[in-house]
Amino acid sequence: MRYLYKKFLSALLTLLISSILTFVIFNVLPGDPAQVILGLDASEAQLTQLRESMDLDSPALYRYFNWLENAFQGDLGVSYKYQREVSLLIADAMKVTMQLSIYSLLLTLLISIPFGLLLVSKRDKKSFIPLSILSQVGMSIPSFCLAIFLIAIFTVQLQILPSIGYVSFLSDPIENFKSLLLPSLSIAIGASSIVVRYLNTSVQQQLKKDYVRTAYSIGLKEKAVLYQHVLRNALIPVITIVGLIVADILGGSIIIENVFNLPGIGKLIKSSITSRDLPLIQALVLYLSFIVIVVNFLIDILYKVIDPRIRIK
Amino acid sequence: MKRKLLINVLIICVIFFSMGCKDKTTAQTDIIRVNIASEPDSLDPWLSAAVDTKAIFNNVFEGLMKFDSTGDLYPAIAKNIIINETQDVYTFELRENVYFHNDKHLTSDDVVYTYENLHSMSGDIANSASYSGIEKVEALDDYTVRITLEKPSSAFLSTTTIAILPRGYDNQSTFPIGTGPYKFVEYQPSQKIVLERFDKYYNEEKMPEIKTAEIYIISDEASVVSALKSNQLDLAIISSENAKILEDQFKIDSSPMNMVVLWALNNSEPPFDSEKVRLALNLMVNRDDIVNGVFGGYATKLYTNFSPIMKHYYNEELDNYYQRDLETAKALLKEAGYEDGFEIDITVPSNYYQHVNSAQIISSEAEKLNIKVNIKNVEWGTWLEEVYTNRNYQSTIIGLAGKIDPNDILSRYETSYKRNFINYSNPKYDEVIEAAAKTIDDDKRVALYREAQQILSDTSASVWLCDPNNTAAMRKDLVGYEYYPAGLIDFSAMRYEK
Amino acid sequence: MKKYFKNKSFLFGFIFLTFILLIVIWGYINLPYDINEVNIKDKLAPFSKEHILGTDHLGRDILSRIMIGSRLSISIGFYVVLFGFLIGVPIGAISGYFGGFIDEIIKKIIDTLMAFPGVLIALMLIAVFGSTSTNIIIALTIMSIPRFSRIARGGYYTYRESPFILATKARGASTFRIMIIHIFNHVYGDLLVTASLTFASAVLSEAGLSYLGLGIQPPNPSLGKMVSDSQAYILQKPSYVIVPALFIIIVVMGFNLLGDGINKVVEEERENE
Repeated sequence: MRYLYKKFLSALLTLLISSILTFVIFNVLPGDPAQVILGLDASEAQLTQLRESMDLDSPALYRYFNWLENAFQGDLGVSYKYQREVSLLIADAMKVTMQLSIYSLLLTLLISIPFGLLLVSKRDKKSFIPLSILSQVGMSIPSFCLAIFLIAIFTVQLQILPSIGYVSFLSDPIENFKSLLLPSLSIAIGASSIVVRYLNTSVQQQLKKDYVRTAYSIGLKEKAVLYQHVLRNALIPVITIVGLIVADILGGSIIIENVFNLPGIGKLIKSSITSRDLPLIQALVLYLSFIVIVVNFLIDILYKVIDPRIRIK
Repeated sequence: MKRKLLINVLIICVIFFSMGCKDKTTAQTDIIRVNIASEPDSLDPWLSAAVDTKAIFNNVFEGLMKFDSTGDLYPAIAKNIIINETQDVYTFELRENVYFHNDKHLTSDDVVYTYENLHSMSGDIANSASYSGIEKVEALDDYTVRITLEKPSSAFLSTTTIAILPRGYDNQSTFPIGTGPYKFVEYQPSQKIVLERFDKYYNEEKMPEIKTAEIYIISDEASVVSALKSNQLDLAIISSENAKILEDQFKIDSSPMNMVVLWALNNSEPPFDSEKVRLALNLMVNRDDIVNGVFGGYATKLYTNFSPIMKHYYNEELDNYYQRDLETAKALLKEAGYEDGFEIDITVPSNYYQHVNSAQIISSEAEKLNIKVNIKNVEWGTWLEEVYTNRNYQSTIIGLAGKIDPNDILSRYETSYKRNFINYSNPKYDEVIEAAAKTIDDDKRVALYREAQQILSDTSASVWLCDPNNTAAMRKDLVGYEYYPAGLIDFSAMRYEK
Repeated sequence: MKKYFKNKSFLFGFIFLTFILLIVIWGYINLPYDINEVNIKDKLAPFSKEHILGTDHLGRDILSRIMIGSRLSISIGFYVVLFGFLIGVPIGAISGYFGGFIDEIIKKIIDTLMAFPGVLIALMLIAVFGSTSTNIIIALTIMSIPRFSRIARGGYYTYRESPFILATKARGASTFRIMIIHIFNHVYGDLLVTASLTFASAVLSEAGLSYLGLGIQPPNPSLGKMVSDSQAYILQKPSYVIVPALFIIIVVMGFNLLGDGINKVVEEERENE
């Protein structure tokens, strides 16, 4: 119980500090949100009106505490640019980024496990070299280059997959899958190359272990040893790498969302920064910090479950 | 087990590809999908200032008057206008069958509400200087409104194109309601805007044929082109450069935009405080390179702050005013005391890649005159604050969107103008602009505005580059697209040929 | 050195990087064209004798821009690895060797940083402080520090109680000496691997940021920016997209392979011990 209490306090502190930092930075940064939103042709009256509606004329300190008070009550304010509640905007964007991440992760597993197995089974054969070159290229190609080529092939030439426009899962699951296939493929190819590499190294390491020799010595066949014993042990380190891959996928989605025009968190971050949309940035920072805290908490718990020694201590 | 998996994958692929093919064959005719480059600035038409936003939302909103595709006015919600001789009392007779999209009947009460609000009579501040000259707004009966001005104004009529909004509805900024041929359905931030035909639109002749309009917000040019090529868009506003490669497959419409792209020189910063330097730079710049290199040849070269597309007011004598001549430019720099050249900054907003490209062309050119150019890329927000508002810069490249009223274009160079970011100051010019605004006689007005353009060129206030074309590529069976200099993509005029 | 070249991954990585280095050095000695020299009449020219890799949308020589662009990418990668190493390794070493309270805190921070998408940190930093080369290096270094710290921490943690270190300690070697010389000797192979892989990912991240317009700013050429510039011309001149993309791949793959190779050699050595 005390453990949870401590966790909660430190989390709260982190959130508070990050909110203060963002607020300070965006008050120092040049750029008047009203002018950015309305552009070159705005009249003075329009600007004044917008500034008033955003409460930009009050002192900064007052605005911060006002925001803090509202945030504690769960009200994160209204976006300057979109004129909507930021919590709604983030919830909508999160749905997209989440789906993109899930599709990417599924594709990653769908590509990497069969491919990894193939690579392992061919490890002593000639075909191993071209296969491993393929996985090296996959790991080295930037996701945005891949995206450009995928669009050129599947959208422009073959015209079978869309490159713009996101369709929500509830309104049309098939279209939803199609609209997210190219973006998630762009992310998954790189990610799965990494998984394949880990799987390969992990298997190689296991093969040198004593139990493999024992298994062979009691007359088990190559396949049986590989699939029933080695693979199971080799997958354990690979599972831990999947955790890191998730962070990779989230990061990759920021670039990919911009290439495919998907209304996810990455796009929201970019546009909120350029339009100096303070309420939206504040909420995004809080939100992302919150995710990091939760992820860390889960990792903590996971460690404790996996490694009983920590529990005893 | 392996074989089973393979077969499954194959089956999925086949289903999937056949799904894709189905879409390709059915080109729909009851929907039009277009792109705009930026997010709408505000859904509330009184707050919105961006041309892109207006081009879409002028389908939703209408004013008493409307602009046609040549920039002339015609009555819209008003069916008749009576102007007194001294041009200070305007009487509008309204149509009787106009409905708002929430089925509310439009009466003179809504018009009074609109203009009272724009002028701040209801307690708010005036929407723009254009409406501050209104003395009173009266409803003579349910369908007649009289607007009296404090003093005669020749420009007033063109400001009556502003949207009439219903009294007592205050959700305009989230769910806008107007009287136009299309009604607002939804706006998904950074994704799309959806409009739908308004079946109670008053003008039977202009009743839209296409039921739905989807406007995708795509800031990246390459995405637009690939979306068009793959039939995800029916009409695309593209960068002129790409027109050539799309010509075979699509119908292209390219027309001057009435925009002024200029290399703005801060007149109060050395070395640009010297008229000779400014002239030298005008003689140095290779406008052909910019037109061909940045705009694919689809642009009109400019020699003053005015586009030739506005034939009525444009001073034709200024065509080719500056003949490119590096020797004279060198001599001018020497006279100005800059024999050894100098170093300057060009601050460009990095989100406008055309301006960044123009800066690189200019920089390469300037080297021949021993001028070292530092290109400073800044974010749009920073540009607006540092360059546009604080005027804390040396030079910049920017496009100024055109207006229908010449006063709105040329008053930028007035000494007292709030956004005169070029810091141009010339008493003679101020006089001419002021006189023109007061003049009611059209011929005299035209003459004054032409003189103003001449003064700008004579003093080389800045380096004007070109008016880039608005280029649209569309499905070959789409007819009725027309470019409106006032900013409108008129969906109601479009249809698909069978 | 011989044992490294026997490894195929290392050999190929080495060949790729030598190729890139030669291109960069060629650019230093004899740059074919001024990289900012615009020549509109000659824009989007195909491969030719005058322009070996053709010209870009402003008629600039692509080969020259690739030379300078690769140089910028590699120097950014170099600084990121250098600073990441210099900051990350001592932190990890102290954390692993001494353990206790400090270790707990440092481990927390490393885990947090690792869980956070790196591009996101870079994106925010650069959006806020502006996209200069220095800021890109700072942002990417912040992302690379935890990688080094994690490896160093793991190494020092394993070796601090190993028999040979205990023996050295008994002989009276100072803590400082043990950390700098004795343990480091056993860890540096893993760190070299990390350095190589970090180099690859730094180049990749820089390309990504430049692609988004937040990295190296024009007129300076950057491989990532070239891809994003050329994207609009993919239908007119596909090679304009493919060439810079290929160069990014070669650099990244070179370092990845190099890292792989070193890793295998280090592991083999460890087994032989």
